[in-house]
Amino acid sequence: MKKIRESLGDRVFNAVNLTLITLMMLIVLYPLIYIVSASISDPDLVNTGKVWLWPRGITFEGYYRVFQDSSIMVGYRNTIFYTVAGTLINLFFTLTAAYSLSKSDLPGRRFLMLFCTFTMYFGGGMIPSYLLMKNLHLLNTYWILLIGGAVSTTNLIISRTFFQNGVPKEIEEAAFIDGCSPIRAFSTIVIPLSKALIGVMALYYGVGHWNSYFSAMIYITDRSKYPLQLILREILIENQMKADMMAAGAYVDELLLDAQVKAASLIRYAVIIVSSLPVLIIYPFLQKYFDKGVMIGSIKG
Amino acid sequence: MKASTLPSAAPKKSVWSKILAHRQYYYLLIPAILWYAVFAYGPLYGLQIAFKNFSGAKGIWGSSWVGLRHFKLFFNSYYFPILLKNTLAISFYSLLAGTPIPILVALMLNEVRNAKYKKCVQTILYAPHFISTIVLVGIIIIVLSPSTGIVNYMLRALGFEAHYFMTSPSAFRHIYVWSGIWANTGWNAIIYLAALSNVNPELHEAATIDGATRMQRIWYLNIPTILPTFTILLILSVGSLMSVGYEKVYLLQNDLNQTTSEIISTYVYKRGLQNAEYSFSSAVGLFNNVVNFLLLLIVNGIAGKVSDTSLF
Amino acid sequence: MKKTLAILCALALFVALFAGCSGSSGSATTAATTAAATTAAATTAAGTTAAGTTAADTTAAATTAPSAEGGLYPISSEPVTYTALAASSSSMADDWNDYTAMKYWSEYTNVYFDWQYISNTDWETQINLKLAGDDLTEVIWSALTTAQLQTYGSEGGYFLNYMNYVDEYMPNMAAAFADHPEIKSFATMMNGEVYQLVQYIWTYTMANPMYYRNDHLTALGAEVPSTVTEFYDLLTAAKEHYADLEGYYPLQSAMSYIHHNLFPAFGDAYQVGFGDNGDGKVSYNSGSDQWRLYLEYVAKLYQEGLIDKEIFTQDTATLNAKIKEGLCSFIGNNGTQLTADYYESGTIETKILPPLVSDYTSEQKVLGIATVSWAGRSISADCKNPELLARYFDMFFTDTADAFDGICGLSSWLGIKGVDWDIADNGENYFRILPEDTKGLSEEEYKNKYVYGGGYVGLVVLDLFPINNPTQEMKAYESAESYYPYMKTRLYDSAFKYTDDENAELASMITDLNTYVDTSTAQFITGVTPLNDDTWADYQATLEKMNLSRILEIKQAGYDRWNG
Repeated sequence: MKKIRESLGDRVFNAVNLTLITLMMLIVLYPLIYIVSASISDPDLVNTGKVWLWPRGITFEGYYRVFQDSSIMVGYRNTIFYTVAGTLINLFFTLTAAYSLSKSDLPGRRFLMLFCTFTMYFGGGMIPSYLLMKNLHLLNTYWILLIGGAVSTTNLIISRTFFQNGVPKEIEEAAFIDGCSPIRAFSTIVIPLSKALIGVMALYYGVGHWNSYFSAMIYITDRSKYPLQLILREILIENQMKADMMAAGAYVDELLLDAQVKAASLIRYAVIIVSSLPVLIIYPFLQKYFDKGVMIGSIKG
Repeated sequence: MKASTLPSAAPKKSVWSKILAHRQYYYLLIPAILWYAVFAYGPLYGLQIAFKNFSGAKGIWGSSWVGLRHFKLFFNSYYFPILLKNTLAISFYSLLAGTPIPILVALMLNEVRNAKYKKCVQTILYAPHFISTIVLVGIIIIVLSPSTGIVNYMLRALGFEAHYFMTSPSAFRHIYVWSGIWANTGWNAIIYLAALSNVNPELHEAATIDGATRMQRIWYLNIPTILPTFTILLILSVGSLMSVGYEKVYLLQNDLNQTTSEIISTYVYKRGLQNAEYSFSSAVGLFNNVVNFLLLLIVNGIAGKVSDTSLF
Repeated sequence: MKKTLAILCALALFVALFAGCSGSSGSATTAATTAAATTAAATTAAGTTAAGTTAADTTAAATTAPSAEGGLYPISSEPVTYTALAASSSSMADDWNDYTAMKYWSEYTNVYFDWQYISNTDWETQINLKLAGDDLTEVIWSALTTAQLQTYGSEGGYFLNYMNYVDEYMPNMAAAFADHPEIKSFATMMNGEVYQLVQYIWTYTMANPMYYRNDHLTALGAEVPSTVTEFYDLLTAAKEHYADLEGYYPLQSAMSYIHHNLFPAFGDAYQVGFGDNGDGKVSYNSGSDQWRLYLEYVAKLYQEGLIDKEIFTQDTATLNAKIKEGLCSFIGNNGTQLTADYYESGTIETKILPPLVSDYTSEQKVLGIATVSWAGRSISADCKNPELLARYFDMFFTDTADAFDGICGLSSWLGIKGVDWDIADNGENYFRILPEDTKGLSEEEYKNKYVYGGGYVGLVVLDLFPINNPTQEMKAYESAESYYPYMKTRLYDSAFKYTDDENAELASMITDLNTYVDTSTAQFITGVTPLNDDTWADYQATLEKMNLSRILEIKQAGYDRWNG
């Protein structure tokens, strides 16, 4: 491959592009650094605005309080399980359907799309869903968090779009001519070619599971099954609640309230870090699927 | 050839044989469709609650019908016009401002040569997505504080007076939308980056040899690749125009910016807090969903005519 | 733009929350069977075998009714277990059966509980689902709202009526009803039944007063203000005196504390919002002339920089941080966070500001503490042996701790007398008994985690002063002098009972009213809307448009029922 000389225009473009990107990165980075600093700073200093960038009055009290709750470790364990198992189930349910729906000559395609999309807009609500789960004996089980949201219609639609536009028709046609059945074509040809889509779907569904708490809140009563976010949210909101209410009760100990309020501030930041660090670490590994040139080599001739 | 000899029963026959020919695709569809039937359509009977006076003890079937009463009460209430206006204003604003930016970011990132730097930037850009709403709002308040916030600090350094952003009704929408863009752009760009990875690099090289500039290559190669994705996402976004979630707005709300910050979902949330008014919230929800669905159909129709990407 | 996940989550949440919660198809039949079960249970309880106890013992416990001083304990000769649902949080024990007080009560009575928990933070959402899904335990330990009791109790028949057990098994509660009629009014539903127990709390540490820093007053050479004018002058003087202190405001407070403590100084009313101003009628005080006078005053304070401009947006954490930094002289929130070490003099200089008076009223007054409120402990209609539970809970309706070996209403707050707390020899003070190692927790935190933190019930009455906790001691003594003597009876309008139609009507009107009043109040105070005759007339006219008269009518009906 000849090395192509870059024109002046291209060089200018690169420079401008990089500058803009870096600027954006800094704008986003500053509050992130702030969060990390705030999570180990004295909350009184944070709340009176004395912390700008670097931590002041360093204390690890926030992290201590978060980890002191032994349920955190249980939460981590549960969430990892829900995320991995759940995402695999999601991928299975979604990609199969999306592939079928991407075939424009599939009879009843429009109806099926409407069938799925309709549910994005109209739902029965919490109580009928709760009763349904109760009748299916899914309440308080691990299954409910794995199956309950097996298909996200939005992701289904996105996947369908990818299958429609991203996979070269010639490859599939070649396979059919060779006598390959649709299911085999799907599993042996299309899927390997759709790494970018799988990467994105794994990320979306995975993060969805990682961040989810609402279903668990409604359907799970056994604390040993609680996902991480539910536990963290509890800690966060609880402290907030204590802090915000005009105190009531037999004993309004403002010193205690103050300690709780301080803890709430500290915990706020520690919680984000604790909950999002794992995902942030994983992303670069998934990211290689989005790189250019994933398709190279798959098209022969 | 022998087309005229095809009997009139042929269309039916060919549809059925088409279905048979496609049977493997239907097999692939079974898991998802089953799931929808059970988990999405199963609870759907709950919609009737919008037309009833739901009482927990009587259950849904035992509760009495009141027809459109809840809807009428809602439309006639003092705050309805304000709620509608505020909700749509935020929605449109978010849509208009928030749609192009992730695309631009994806296109720009795609052009970065240094793989390590690109990875690093991407990770940083999408990190804010994970900040929970409560914390995000906490940061916003601190940053915008008239006495101790960095924004006002800079304003004062430049000679302006400190401005109390959080209590200003006019500032509310900007705060809401731009903080959302800050938090979600990196994340939203991912899907476009993934789409861009489908562009054959050989095409780009060929174009360069032919003398195309970077901009031209982006315009003619990259953008068409992401157009289908963009169209679909835009359709879906318009289809959720009425659905502005309550949590962030509720946290950003205070007594002074309420004229612009009271939206449908926060209003319903407050009523829910007082009295577990399921029928009322159901009715409002149904109203929102119907409007959303109609918008979806309209935009989908337009997209179908204008391009060949549409939902159905 | 809403992204996939955002769309998904927003939609899913939205659909879930709003498309409404509908009842089960089975509920109608469940209610019927439950009603049938209630009658069945009642006849069963009357004196036949129950699980875990022999017929003889149950009957024995039933016929020898316990007296107010004690009676037959343990309640059951064999251990008896009930399933119980409770709102829990991370500040409480992971397993409530680990609570030392809980163990003591169980050993004393032979009544045990099998716990299920709902997180405190989402109690409302989850309990509604459980109620609608008829997914209940034998006891619901934590409190339900009046509306829920009406729906599921009065109409649905899900709960037992305590009144069926009061005469025979709950002498202490019967006495409490007689001594404190507001307890009975609070607990009784419209149909005369009682489904849930009440807590009656009275201690010296309950106040929400306005504090002041005596060291600042000394520095200013000023006296404690007694009228609103003196208060205003003092604030102005303080502002000048501390002008160099950056970020200083003479009064740092949460808005609710200002309403609570200053509003009564401008007239005869003392309850913000709905109150009884002495005429037996429900009035709306936030639309009255007194409210206007009060708003004019606060607007002046705000606009002259005597109150922090950020009062409407800063959260409690920031407020407290500012107080800690010494950026104020008057405190409307956590005053006791300033310990002795904080002050230069080495003693606690925080004091409570007694209620002010003005030209409009010469009576010092403040809204009384919320003594009565719901405790919980509703019993499911299909509970076996509910009379044992009735006797168990009855122990908490006495304030004589020695009657039940250290168990009384106070146990639901402090624990067992003699074990977790005790009265000092001087008869004036009480103190807590803590182990050497409290694992870094404060008294109350330790108690909530290891002794008992699951909510009060019964008579929690203690007119003694705490020792071994300097800030609480200060607060108690100060309250006794500057707050409690001026307390006036509050209107418990949250406990009024309404019919279904009234409830529905009220619900559809009250949120709008509250929103409007909050917004208008803020606008008047900050000056966004100037306060003059025209704007005030507009305000009152809009209140009428929001059906204030009808709301008052309904509330009056509720009040009449409360009194009658």
